Amino acid sequence: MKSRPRLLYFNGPWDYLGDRMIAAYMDPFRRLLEQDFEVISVQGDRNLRKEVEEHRPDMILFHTGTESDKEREIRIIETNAYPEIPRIGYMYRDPISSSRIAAVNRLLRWGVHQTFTCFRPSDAPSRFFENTIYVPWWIEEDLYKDYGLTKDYPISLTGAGWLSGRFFYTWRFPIFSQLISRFPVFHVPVLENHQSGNAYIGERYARLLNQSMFSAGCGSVNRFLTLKPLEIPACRCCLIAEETEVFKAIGFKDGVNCVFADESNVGSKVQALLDNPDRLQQITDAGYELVHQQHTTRSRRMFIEWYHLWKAKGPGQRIVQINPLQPLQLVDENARPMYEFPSENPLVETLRAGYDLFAQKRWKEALAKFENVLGIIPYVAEARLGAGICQFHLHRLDLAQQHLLYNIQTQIRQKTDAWPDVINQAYLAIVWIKMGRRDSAIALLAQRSDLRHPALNSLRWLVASKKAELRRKEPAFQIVEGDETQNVETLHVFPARTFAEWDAVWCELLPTESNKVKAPQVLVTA
Amino acid sequence: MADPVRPRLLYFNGPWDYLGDRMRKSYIDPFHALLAQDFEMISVEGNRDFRAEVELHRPEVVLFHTGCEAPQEPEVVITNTDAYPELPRMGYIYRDPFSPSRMMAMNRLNHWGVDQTFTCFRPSDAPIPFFENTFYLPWWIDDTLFGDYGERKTLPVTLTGSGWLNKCIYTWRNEIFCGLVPRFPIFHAPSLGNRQTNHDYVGEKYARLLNRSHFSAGCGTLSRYLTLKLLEIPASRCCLIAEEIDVLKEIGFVDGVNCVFATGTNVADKVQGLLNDPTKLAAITDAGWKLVQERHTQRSRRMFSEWFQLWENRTDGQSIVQTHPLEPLKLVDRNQVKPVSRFPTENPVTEGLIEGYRLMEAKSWTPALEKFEWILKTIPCVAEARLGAALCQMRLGRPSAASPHLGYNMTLLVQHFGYAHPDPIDLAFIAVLCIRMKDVSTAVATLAKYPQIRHPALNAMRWILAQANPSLADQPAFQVRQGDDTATVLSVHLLPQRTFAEFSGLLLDYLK
Repeated sequence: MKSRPRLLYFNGPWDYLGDRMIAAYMDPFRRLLEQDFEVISVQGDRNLRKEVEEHRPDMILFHTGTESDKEREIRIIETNAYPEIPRIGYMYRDPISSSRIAAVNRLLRWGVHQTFTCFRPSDAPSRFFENTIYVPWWIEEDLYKDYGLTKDYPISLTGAGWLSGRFFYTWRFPIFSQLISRFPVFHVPVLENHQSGNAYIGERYARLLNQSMFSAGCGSVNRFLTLKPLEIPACRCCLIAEETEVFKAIGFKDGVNCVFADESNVGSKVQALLDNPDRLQQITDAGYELVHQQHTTRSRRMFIEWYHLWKAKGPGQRIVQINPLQPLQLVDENARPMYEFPSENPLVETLRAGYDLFAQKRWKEALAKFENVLGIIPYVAEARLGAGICQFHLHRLDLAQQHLLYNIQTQIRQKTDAWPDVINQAYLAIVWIKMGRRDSAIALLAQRSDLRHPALNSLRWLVASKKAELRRKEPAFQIVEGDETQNVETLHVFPARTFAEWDAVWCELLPTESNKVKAPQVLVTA
Repeated sequence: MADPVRPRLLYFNGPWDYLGDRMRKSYIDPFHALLAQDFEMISVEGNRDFRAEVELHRPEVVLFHTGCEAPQEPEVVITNTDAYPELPRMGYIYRDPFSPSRMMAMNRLNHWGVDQTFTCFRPSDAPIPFFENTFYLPWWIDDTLFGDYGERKTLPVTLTGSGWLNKCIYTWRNEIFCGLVPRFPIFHAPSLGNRQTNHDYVGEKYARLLNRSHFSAGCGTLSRYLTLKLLEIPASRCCLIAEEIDVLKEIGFVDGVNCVFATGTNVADKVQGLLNDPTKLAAITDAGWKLVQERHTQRSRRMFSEWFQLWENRTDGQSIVQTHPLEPLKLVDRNQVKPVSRFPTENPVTEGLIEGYRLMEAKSWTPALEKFEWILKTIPCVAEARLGAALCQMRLGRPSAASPHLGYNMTLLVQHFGYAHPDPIDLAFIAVLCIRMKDVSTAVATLAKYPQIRHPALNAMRWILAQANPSLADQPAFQVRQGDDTATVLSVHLLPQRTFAEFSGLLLDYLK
């Protein structure tokens, strides 16, 4: 169709993913783009200049991949070419995943003008996400629909989290425990992202929901919108869900178009509707109408909206999202419109509370908050760092070291260690210096001399000031005092600090270092 | 129209209105149908006058069904059972073999004067004299209900009934559930109490559910006997996953041939192996189906009719014996050594109980207590284990630890089941415990509470107390003579003592 702009879509390859992930996430995303763009999809390692010259796109989109053990980090070179072509990025990650570090830094390197995410800006407390645009999940109406099947199953429960108590989907296990002891339940487990196991994906999954009177879904511990709470009602199956602000904001009402339940009432609510089939049918139908009217591919047009606004925007204007269910807007560069979508997220709230206590130097109370987060999801990098620093202040250096090393090990496991988080590195170096392992700390700081960030710059400068030959031998330590250069993003939630402010932090932690010797300027600039 | 060839059976049973659909459709209706294939049935429910019913219906044989274990089970009263003693009388007990509710069933059959008791469990599962000569009726499936409906296989694994979600008498099931549920889509239909009609998966809908499933699983409970599920699954052309137990092998099941024997550690791999090899899965499923349809339907369970025919044809000095529950009953000379049953007796619960009581005989109280506690950990209601544990605790000088065990037995029978009296041996030892705990007045009240029941243990304890306290002589319960072996009730307990003299010796020991 000639009227559609040409979109050069860097993505994949997806061959490391199982059928479920491709059918549920990758293909629908491409089709979402295709409704508004002429999509030129290019996969794997690419040369941006060459691709642009070959395809002459109107816009470029980078997909940053998915979280899976077997994901390979693709390389796109010559991204400094054609800076005038609008560039956007899309991040599909859990908002608390440590793997965000690689996605964030790749988008930074690729020079995107706007990042879109599958989670709310408020779900990821790092400053990077403040101006990202949220694309709430949607369903494809020709797949998730009423197939007119007989209701063979009273309740189907699919996916992760139903079988164990404390992890990402904290609501699910108590609900499972209540339902399975009272009603016939069909449970379909989720396999790893790279596996293709049981066949309940795509149409067969939709048909299973259509054959079920009830199915349940939640917003995870983050209380955000997951795909399941849309897929279920879209297949004319009654949704049982946790009562969250997001579900209410997108139109769900208890007893009208879904069942909001907790472990104390889910059994009786389900039984009451099984005993009242007319009412069950009304709720099921109303849920179906809501999703098919408001949450299909047709209702998610922010990519094309952004493109048109980008083209139309004048100097001093910027594009903002005020509500993810309403069109994007152009506003004055200095305008700060209120975001109108709920931010409820117990995990992030706990994390923020931890950092508030941290700022007041209430180390034990802050540590309890961080440990609460880690008890649910052990790999939240912000909580690990917070817990590590609290332990440092509580003089438990071994425990501090363990938390900070955990973050590094997570990155190694996720194969994102090419993008070390510089603030985690800096704090680990501090811990090691305090433990008397100065050589290890220096070796750590000497790594990746190409990375620059005020936190790292100031610590390198401080350490080198005690050992002048470092500046001669190690490029990483050739830092000028006050170097504010930053070429990497961090996930961490500290306020923006200058070189001097970070230096003050380090000196407080390492008072013996503060008696420093000024570096000869000539060596630094050499 | 009555079939003139079939003998007329007067069948005292029910009423069953306290049971849910599942119990009626799985156990009560099929039993009726089993009888109806060989008898002209006259079914009478609830309280009855035996003489009047016999005079009305002129049966050739009588069968008493002793009911079904469920709270609020009514205890039916059948009067005038001393009439027509020449009429052959059979009784049927459908209970878990470890259930304390056996006591009332035993006592009712005893009062009704049955000539032969049939049970749903092996005699070896309840090792007390009452069951020595009972006949075991292994479960069967009604082949008009459990068959191949030609349903498309849409479910990989279906698990129905109790025990999958937590550890209980079905000790094998929870580990199988945990092995399967993270790896395969599983349809789970829970079983609720026997009284409840909870969901639609009963009768034909249950059979069709199995028929739609590639696999379903069943076990023999901790007692390792034959349960119905083990036949229903293959009969519905569904591959049976089962615990490897002697009974299953004895009735024809062979791992990898007509079923899958599995444990929690290998079940997922075995299931995956067969899902990857549909030809082999179909071969096993078909062989299981054939085995059950050929050998374990109602057509293969004719012992009521066999017994009646043998009873009618026996001569003086002959008795009827069962040497194997899958073979016909036999007449043998009464003077001949009783033939030994060739059916496997494997049963960890019974073995634990017998070993516990053997250790008590050897005065090894702590090891005996460990045996009983091992059983109670899984099945808290085993009365024999409760009594054994209580006696061990008393011997170990911990009467306060004995008290909850005896209290449990009493409460279960009298309050939970609502029976007219507790087990007489429990009652005698409750009195012993009260005295040991210096509460003689409660001991007296306990022994006086059920004056109508007599049992050598109870007689002995009452006599001992009356000897020490002559003022009790006014109370009817304590009007017992030394050596009174009268028993108006039977006990489920395993103690070797039988007579007044033996019990008084034992009780005096415990009173020390």
